[in-house]
Amino acid sequence: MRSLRWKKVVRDLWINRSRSLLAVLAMTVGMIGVSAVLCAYSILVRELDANYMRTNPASATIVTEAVNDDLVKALQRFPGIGSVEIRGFFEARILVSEDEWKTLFLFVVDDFSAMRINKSKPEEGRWPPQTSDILIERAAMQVVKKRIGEDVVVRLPGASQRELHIAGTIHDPAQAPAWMEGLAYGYVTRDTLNLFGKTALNEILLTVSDRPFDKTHIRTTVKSVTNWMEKLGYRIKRIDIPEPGQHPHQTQLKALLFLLQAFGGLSFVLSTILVVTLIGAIMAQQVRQIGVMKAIGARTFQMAGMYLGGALLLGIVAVVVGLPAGLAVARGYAGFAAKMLNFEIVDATVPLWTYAVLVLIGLLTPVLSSSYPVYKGSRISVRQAITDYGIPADQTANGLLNRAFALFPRLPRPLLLSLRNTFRRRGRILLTLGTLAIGGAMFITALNVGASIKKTIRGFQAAMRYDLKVSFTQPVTLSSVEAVVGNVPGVTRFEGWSQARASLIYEDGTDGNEFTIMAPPSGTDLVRPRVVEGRMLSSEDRGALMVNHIFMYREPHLNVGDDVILRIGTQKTKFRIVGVIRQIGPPTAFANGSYLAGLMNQKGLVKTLPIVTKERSTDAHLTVTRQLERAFTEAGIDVQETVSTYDIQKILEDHFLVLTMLLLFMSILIVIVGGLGLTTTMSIQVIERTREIGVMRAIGASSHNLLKIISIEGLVIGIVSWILAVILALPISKYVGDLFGMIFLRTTLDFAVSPVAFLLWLGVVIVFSLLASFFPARNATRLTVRETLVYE
Amino acid sequence: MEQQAYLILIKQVTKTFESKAGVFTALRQVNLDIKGGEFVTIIGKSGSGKSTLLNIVAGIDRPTSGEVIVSGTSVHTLNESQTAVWRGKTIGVVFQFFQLLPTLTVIENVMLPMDFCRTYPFQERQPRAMKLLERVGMTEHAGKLPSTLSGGEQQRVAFCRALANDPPIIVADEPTGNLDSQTAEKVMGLFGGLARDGKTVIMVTHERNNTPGAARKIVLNDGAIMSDTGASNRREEHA
Repeated sequence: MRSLRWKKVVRDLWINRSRSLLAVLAMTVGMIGVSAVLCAYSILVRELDANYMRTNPASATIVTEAVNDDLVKALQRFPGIGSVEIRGFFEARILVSEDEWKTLFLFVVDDFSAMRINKSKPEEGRWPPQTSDILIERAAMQVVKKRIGEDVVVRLPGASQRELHIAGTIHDPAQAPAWMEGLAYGYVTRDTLNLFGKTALNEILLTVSDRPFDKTHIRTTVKSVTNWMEKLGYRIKRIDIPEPGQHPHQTQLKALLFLLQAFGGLSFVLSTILVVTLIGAIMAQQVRQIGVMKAIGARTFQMAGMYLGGALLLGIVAVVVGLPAGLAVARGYAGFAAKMLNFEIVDATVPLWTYAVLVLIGLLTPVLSSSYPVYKGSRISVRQAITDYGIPADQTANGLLNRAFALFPRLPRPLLLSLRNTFRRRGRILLTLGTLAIGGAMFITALNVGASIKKTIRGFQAAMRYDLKVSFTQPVTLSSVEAVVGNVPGVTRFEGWSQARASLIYEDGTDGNEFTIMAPPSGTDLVRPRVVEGRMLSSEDRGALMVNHIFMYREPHLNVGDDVILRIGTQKTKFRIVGVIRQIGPPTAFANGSYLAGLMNQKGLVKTLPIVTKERSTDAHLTVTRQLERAFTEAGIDVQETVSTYDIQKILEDHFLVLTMLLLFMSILIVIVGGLGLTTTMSIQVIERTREIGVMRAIGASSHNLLKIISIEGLVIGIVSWILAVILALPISKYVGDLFGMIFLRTTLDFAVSPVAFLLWLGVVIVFSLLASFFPARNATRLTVRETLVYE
Repeated sequence: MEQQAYLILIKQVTKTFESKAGVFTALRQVNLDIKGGEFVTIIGKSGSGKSTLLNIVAGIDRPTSGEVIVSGTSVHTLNESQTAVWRGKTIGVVFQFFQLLPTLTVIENVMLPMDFCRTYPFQERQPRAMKLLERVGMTEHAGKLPSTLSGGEQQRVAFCRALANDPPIIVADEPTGNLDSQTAEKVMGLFGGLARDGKTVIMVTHERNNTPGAARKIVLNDGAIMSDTGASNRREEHA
C-alpha cells in the first residue's frame, strides 16, 4: 500500500477494531438481509414463471359435455387457435380416512406420454398409469394421507365409487398447491374413467395462435369458439381463462418479496448508520490530528477522501462477507418457497444485474451516508481543530436539557452526569436512538401484523355463523335433507340454501370466469358479513346481488348500483349490485334464496346446507362430518363436499403464520443492527471520556460508581428508544398491515396490537442496553488514573 | 522596495475573539517585519497574544483586520484550501505537544507532508525522510510508532516533519514546553542550526531566558509589542 493516507485509514480502523468490527458486523447483517431477499426475488420470480411456462399452460379451458375427436380436429383448424387437447375433469371426492372425504379434482388424460398443454411430469412410481391406477399430485399426498402402493376410494358425482390404486405421484406446476387449497388432484386414464360408468371427456384445453399474453384477445377468441360450439349443440358449462403467462400465485409472491425487500433494505440502511457513527466518532477523536494534517499541508478534500475511504473499506468487507452469505440464505429460502408453492428451482443462478446492484448498494451506501459528518469534520479550521476540547462550544449551563434537569435539584450528581452525558453528542445519540427505535418499531410491527391478521380472519369467519357447510352434487329437497340431518347428534341448527355457478357477460359479449352465487333464505342470521359499500340484501330484493370484495377486485370496472348480465346455466339474467361485503375466499355473490331458486326452477330444493354444531373443535367437526357423510350416503344423497369453517380459519392462520414469521425474521435483523449500534455508541462515549473517567477516579469514584453511571446512560438510551418505538410502531403497523392485507386478502386488515410485543421489546431493549454498556464500562474501570490522564 | 526586503510583513493586525463572555482582543494593531534567515523569539505571559500572532503568521488563524504578507503572498486573502497548500510548502510547524499521528510510524510521520503537497516524487520521499532523521539522530527509530518514544525523541521527529517540504519558514509554539531542561537545550540547538542554515525561525516561548543569545526577541503584552530587539537593532542600523 503506497499511500500513507490509506495506511492511516486502515490502521485507524484497526486501532478501533472492536468498534470497527461492530460496524462491519452490522453492515454484514444488513447486507445478508438485503442480498438474501433480492437474490431470492430474482430466482423465484424467474423460476416460477419458467416452471409455469414449461407446462405450456392453456390460454383457456372450456368445460362442456362429451367431446369427440371430430370436434377436436375442427377446433385445431379454428382461426386463432394454436393447439387443442381434450381431457376429462370431474369434481370428485376421495376417502382419506373413515367417513372422511376430501374434494378431489380428477383429471382424465387420454395419453400421458403425449401431453402438450398443461403438461405434468412423472414424479415417482408407475408411468404412465394403467387401468385402475390413479396418480396423485405430489403436494396432495399429505391431503390424501396415503402412500404410493395403497388403494384409495374415489367417488364421482352421480356415479358409484371405486377403489383405485395409487400407482405414483405426478408434478403439476400449473395447479395451486393442494395443501393450500385443502383438496387433492388425481390423474387417471380414460379406461379408468370407464370403470365409473363414464366414457366421455368433457374438457377442452386450448392455446391461442397469436398474442398469447393478451387476455382480451384470448377472451374474444374463446367467445368465437364457444359461440360456434353452441351452434353445434354443445352446452358450455364453464370457461376458465387464467391470467396469461402468470402462475396463480405469482402476484402474491412478488408482492411478498417486495415487502421483504423493503425490510431488508431498511436493515442495511440502518446498519450504515453505524458506519456514520463510527466514522463520526473517529473524526471527533481525531480532531487534533485533522488540525495537524491541515497545518502540514493537507486540504479539505484530502481529509474527506481519507475518512470516506474508511467508510468504503467497511463497505467492501461487508459486501465480501455478506453477499455470499446472503446468496446462500437466498437459495435456501428460494428452495423452501418453491416447495411451498410446489414448483422446481431448475436454475438457481442469480442474474448479474442483481450482483451489480448489491455491490453498488454495499459500497455506495456507507460512503454516501458518511458524507455529511465527513464533510463537516474535514472542513474544520486548523485553529478550531487544535483548540478542540471535545465539548460543543454552545453547550452551556443554560441548555434546554440542563434547564430541565435543574427542575430536579435533588437528583444525585452521578445520575445527573449520566443524563447529561447521554445527550452530549446530540447528532450521534439521535442516530442511535433512531436506529434502535426503528428496529423496535419493526419488531413490534411484525407481531402487531400477526395479531391484525388473526383478528381479520376471525372477523371473516365470525360473519359466517355456521360451523360446517355441506354441498350436494345436485340440488335436493329440503325435506329429505331435514330427515337426515335432524338425526345426527352434535347438530344444533341447519338451513337450506340455494347455490348456482354463474359467469359475468361483458359488454363485448364474452364471458368472465365462473363464480358462485350463494342464496340463503331471506332473513337468515347464519351469515352476517360486514358491508363495506352499499347495503345488505333485503327480503324484498329481486334481482339484487351482494358481492364480496374479491369479486369487485377482479372486476374493477364495476360499482355498486351497476346492472350486470349473468349467465346462470343456459339463462342470461340481469342483476343489480346493491352491496359489497368483506369476505375471504374466491369471488362470490349473494342473492335472495327464493328468487334464485325460482330463476333456476329449483323451488323447494337446496344445494348447500350450513350447519351449526354443538361443539367447535377439529375433532368435534370431524365426528359430525363423518356422521353426516354416512347418513347422507345411506339416504342416497350425493354429497359434493363438507367443509369446516373452523378448519378453514386454522388453515388460514397457519398460512399467515409463515408469512408473519418471515416478517419477524426480517425485523430481527433490524433489531440486531440497532443493538450493535447501541454497543458502538456506548463504547465510543466511554472512550471519548477516558480522561474524564480518570479525573473521576482521581476524586474518588469507585468502579461501582463508574459502572452505574455508564450503565444508566445505556439504560436511558434504551428506554427513550422504547418510547419512540412504541409511538412509531402504531402508524407503521397500520401501514404494513394494510399492505399485507391488500396483497393477500385484497382488503385492509382489522387493526390489532399485540400487548406482548410492547413488553417483549421493552425486555429486549433493557437487556441490550445493559449488555451494550457493560463491556465499555468494565474496560473503563480497568484503566489506571495515570493511563486515563495521559490519554489523547 | 520595503516589502521585498522582508520575508514576513505584518501590518496593523488586530485579532479579536467573540464568545458568550464578551469580545477579547488578542492582538492590537501589531506591526512586525521579519527578514529571511532571522531567528525570532516571541515572549510573553499566558494570554499575551503570542500564540495568536504565531498562528496568524502560519496562516492557521486570520486577522480581524490588517495585512499579513509572507514570502510575497498576502496570506490573509487566501481561502482555507489555498492556505493549506501555501502553508505546506512555505511553513514548517512544530507544536508544543509534538502532535505526531499515532498510527503512523516515525518515518511515515516525516513523509506525510510530502505526501499531501507532492513536493517530491514518490521514490524520493523515503530517502529524504531518512536523511532528515539522520540529522537529528533518529534513524534507528524510523519504523517505530510515536507512542514508543520519549518526549524529546518525539519532538525531534516533529522537527523533521516540519522540514519535510524544505519550507523557508519554521514556526514553533513552545517546542520545549513539554521537555526537561537537558532535552530542551538539545532541541533548541536544532532550531539554532536551522537559522544558521538560512531558515527563518519564529518561536513562541513564555521564558525570557530560554532563548539563544543571538535571536531577536519580541516581547508581547496584552496583544501589543512591548519591546523588539530587532526593531532597536534596525534603528541603530539606520542611524
